Amino acid sequence: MGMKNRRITRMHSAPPPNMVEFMVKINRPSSKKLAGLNRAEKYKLLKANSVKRKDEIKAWIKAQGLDAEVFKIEEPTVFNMLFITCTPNVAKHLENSNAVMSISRNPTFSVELINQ
Amino acid sequence: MHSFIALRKKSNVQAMSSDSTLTTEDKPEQQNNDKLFSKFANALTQKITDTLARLGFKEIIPEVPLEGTQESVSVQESKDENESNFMPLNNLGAFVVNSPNKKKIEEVKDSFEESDYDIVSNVQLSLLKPTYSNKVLRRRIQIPWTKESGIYHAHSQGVLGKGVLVGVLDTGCDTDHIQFRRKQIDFRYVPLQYKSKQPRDVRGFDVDGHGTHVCGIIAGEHIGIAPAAELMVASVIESETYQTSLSRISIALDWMLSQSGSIKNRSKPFILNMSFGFVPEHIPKNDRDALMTGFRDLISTLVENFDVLPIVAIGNDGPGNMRAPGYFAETLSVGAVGFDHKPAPFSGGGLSPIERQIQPNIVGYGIDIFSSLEREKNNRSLYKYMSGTSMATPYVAGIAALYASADTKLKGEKLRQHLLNTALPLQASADRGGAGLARYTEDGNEKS
Repeated sequence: MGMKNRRITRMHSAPPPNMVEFMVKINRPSSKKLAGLNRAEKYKLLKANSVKRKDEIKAWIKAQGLDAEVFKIEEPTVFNMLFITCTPNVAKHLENSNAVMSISRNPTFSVELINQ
Repeated sequence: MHSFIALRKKSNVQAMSSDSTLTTEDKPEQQNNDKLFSKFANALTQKITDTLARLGFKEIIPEVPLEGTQESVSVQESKDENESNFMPLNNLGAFVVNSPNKKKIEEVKDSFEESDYDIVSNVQLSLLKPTYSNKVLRRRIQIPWTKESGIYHAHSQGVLGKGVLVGVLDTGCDTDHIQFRRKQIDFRYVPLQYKSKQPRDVRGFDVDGHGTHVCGIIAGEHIGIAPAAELMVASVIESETYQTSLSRISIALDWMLSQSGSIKNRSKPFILNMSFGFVPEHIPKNDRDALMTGFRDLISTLVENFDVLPIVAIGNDGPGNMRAPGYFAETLSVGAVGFDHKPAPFSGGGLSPIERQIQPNIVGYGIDIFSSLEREKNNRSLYKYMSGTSMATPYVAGIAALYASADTKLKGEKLRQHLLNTALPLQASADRGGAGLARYTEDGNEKS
């Protein structure tokens, strides 16, 4: 097989050991704003809200000079939470950001598949 | 259940050489020979096996079919939660040891340490329950749903679940199983960590078989309660550790909601099946609070903003016990009954710890339920009987899909109420039988 046909497999990098995933609760649109909208419109509105909050948080982190301590911010969903992999120091500072309601560690947990 | 793994140290060859039960000719220092080394290893394994047997531990050995035979595949597993057992992993020179008796476990650990083994704790396995050793079958059978379930009546009326979305959060779904080959199943795999968590759009697979069983009960082509229902399946649970995370679940649900918002799906009823649960007390206090409020937020958004009906297993820990998120007030929690309409001994229930509401809300058939499992190497589809509230939950989801298909105005809370109002009352207390057995009946408020 020639060199030009060879496929390059990129390794996914793991976060540095001093960084963990945190769950950030964000403000969301009021029920009033969502009333009367269909499923697609609600999805669009909630997602746009999460994207806006993510951008605000990113800008805030940069302004504080903390961006080197952030590994990644997951893509926003319709839910009122964002997942950020960063140092505990960033997490502590984020509590002061206006876009953040609360922040806590995002634990992995074991579930039971409920069959006997 | 207490559990640990014992790993043979390389240095225990020396320990073997001083073993008085072995002859000097067998010692590897003197006879540098692979065969003899293997003989030593086998002798040590046998010695440990004998010790464990003497202490009352039962040996668990997986059984596999012989090449080219038509024999069924089966796995010899423990049925008894009170049994002490062990599984030798001969290629690794390791043992997995389980016992409900802590003292017994400590005693055995000492024996291993004397023989120069490393002891590794096996905490996560201890959370899991054993699986019944049911035969895996290669032929589909007719499921004996009772007349009271109304399933055959619905099918005879052409009510098959068409136009209803059913989301399944589970281990995945083998979409090449014969029950799903002719169905279009939307599937995504959401990784646990490190890699990009964006859902992977791939052909449906199942890392365990549990999700395929659940999907078969809901919408298998020949065996499903609502065979025309449209499945959206997200694989969010690791096969070995059964680990997941809130971010993983939220990403999977976000994908499902985006699908349900498309033009063709926008007005379709949306039911979500969750045949899993966790015990909050098993999670460290700091993480527990975040997990509980976060999970609750997800469920509230689904119910309040998207008219989704989450149907969730209450757990298999018996009366007085239940699992989250099944006991959240926003969900329809499901317990299990047998075909004789008696509550299953393992089915959970009682007063929910948060709202103090009686659980489960409703029950479904959950003992010896036949459904799809996976495929073997020759691509033949396999089936299995399984028991649990994991099976009762898709039974209820299937009935819900029949109702929502017959009347598309029935969705979310309305659908929940309709299921409760039409349930067949049982001769069981509310904390064992809920509102009764979910069933399909055309008389909307029939309660007799």
